[in-house]
Amino acid sequence: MATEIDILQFSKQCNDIFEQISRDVVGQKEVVEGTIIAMIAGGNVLLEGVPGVGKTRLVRTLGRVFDMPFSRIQFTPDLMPADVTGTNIIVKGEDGNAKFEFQPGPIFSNIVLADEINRATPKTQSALLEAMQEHKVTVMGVTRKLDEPFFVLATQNPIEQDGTYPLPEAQMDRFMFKLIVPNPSLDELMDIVNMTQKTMDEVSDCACTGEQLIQMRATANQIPVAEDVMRYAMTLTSATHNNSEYASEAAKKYVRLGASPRAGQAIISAAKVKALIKGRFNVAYSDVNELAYPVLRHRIKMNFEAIAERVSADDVIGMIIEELSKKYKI
Amino acid sequence: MKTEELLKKYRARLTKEAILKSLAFGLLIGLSALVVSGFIVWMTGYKNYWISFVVFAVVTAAAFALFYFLKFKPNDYYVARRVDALGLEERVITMKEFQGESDYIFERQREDAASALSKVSETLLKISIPLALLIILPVVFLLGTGTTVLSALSAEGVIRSGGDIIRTVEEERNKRFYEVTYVVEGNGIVIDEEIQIVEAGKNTNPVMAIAEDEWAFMMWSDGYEDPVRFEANVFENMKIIAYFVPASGDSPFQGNGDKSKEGDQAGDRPGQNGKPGPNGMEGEGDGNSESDDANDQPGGNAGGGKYDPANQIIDGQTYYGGDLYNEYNEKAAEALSQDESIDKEMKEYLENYFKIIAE
Repeated sequence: MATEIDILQFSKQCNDIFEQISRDVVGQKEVVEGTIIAMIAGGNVLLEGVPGVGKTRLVRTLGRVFDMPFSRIQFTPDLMPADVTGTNIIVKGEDGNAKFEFQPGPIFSNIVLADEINRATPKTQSALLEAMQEHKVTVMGVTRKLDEPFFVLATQNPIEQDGTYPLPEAQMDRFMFKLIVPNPSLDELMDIVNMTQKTMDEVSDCACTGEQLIQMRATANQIPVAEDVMRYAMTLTSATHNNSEYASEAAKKYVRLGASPRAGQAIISAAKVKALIKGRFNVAYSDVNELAYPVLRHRIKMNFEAIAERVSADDVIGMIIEELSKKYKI
Repeated sequence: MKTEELLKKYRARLTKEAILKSLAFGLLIGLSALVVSGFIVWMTGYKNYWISFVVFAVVTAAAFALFYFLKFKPNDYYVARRVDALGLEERVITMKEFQGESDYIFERQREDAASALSKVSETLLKISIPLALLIILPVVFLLGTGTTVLSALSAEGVIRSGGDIIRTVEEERNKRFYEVTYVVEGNGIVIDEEIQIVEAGKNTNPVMAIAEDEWAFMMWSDGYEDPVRFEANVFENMKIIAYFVPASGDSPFQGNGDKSKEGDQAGDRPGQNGKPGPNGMEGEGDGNSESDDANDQPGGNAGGGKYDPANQIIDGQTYYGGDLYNEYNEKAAEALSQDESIDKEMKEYLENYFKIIAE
């Protein structure tokens, strides 16, 4: 049951979070907002951008702004699953006998930065699956629960594809958002250079604890969603399938595989947070439409025709939204 | 404040829109009924054309009521959607849907919606009537008034009813016409109309075969030898050839021992002296018997043909046998005067015709 205090606290903490992040990250407003929305909604985020646009810096800043244990894993082709999850090692007990003791890997943290996630082998990438979805890790038959809140913030580089392993669909689906980190604008670039000429240190402070973040999530969850809006969001998700009852013309033409039900859940969860961040106590069609891009773009698999015509997932999402907007007279 | 009260002024606005829409659709249906009833009245020639106005009024009223109550009457849900479309980001529809909830967050949502509503005037709700409807209405109105005027004029006897017109057209369409063509072989002409379109069962206009100098008219292709002819009771397309032969020399059409066929044709001809062909007077020759006068006439008729005193070439000119005309005309006039079955007007007409032929 949300109270007035919860609402005020949500609003204050959001402002604080954005303010602190802006001390270290210049521009990238949509990426920052998307990441915060996903974190409040309890989702993992995949950041995609060319080298040097601030992906890792943003995640490091988030680790500091949210006063929670933060760990970073640099994914490489020789990284092993045990390097992520941890493993049992032989230690000498107090009684002098050797025994197995679990040595937790970097996944045992609240915020995990999986840097250049597509450079690890599928086997190692798969080590994250259970953690990302169920917030649990199973090693040697023993399942251990991860501390809440738990997030994986992964980065990947869309170029330099040699020696990389594209993430499998199952793992892609576990990222709530895929955010495209653009190159900064000229003004932003000047600000970045001016800021880093003074100091390379990151100066942001803690603005939110893990408990507060969980409370924010609980508050946002109570935002009501009208049936019409909910139906629209689910239709949007279904419309990405080329063979569903609600398949859009764009999906029929360009999509090989549509979004999973997780996408529908993600849109609604994230839309509630977005509405509350905007100071609104209900979810609007506009929230759904704006969030459709980060939620759906990595869940839609394009067919050969789309690739041949250079039609991107974002283009298809735009077409679907346009088609549904006419149908729903939005 | 309750949701209904908050939406009251918007509902009033949208009710006006609903009434206008229902009226427009009602008029469309009513005018369509007027078109149909006006058309039916005009077609049937029914005298009480005012029935169309009654049909129009009843159908319009019924359609208006049906459209308003079943289709356009705004409910809270519709009002909420329309108001939200003014930029309220689904605040009103959410408020409406969760109006029974009492948690703090729902109360805040209602406050937020009410606050947003207070900034939106009901006049921003544009009353919208489909453009297509506005275009179709005048067209249907014109059609409706048009058919009603037609039915009224028909009922008053100013114009014919649609049924009458259709019957006339049908009759006209059922008429059949045939083509009768007169062509020439040899040096001569056919006057007057060489190609004639004749309604089934009717007669053609008379034509005359006239030979050029040093040529003579021989006969028509059906064996008929009178240069003046017309076809009576035409029921098929016909092509009739007028044969002309040189005034001197042999003619392929002159009778001899080998030309019995021509003789037969002459004997079988349907009539002579401009009398109606197939149904005219019986031919004089029989083609199978020798003619009494055949041996005395130029060209001979050894093949059984009949000598005709007309169409002789005298001093290079064709003699058409005017005295025979006169003789037969007199006989015809006499027969005509004695025939009681022909009425007076027809008799006068035929008598004039005989005079013209004689001249």
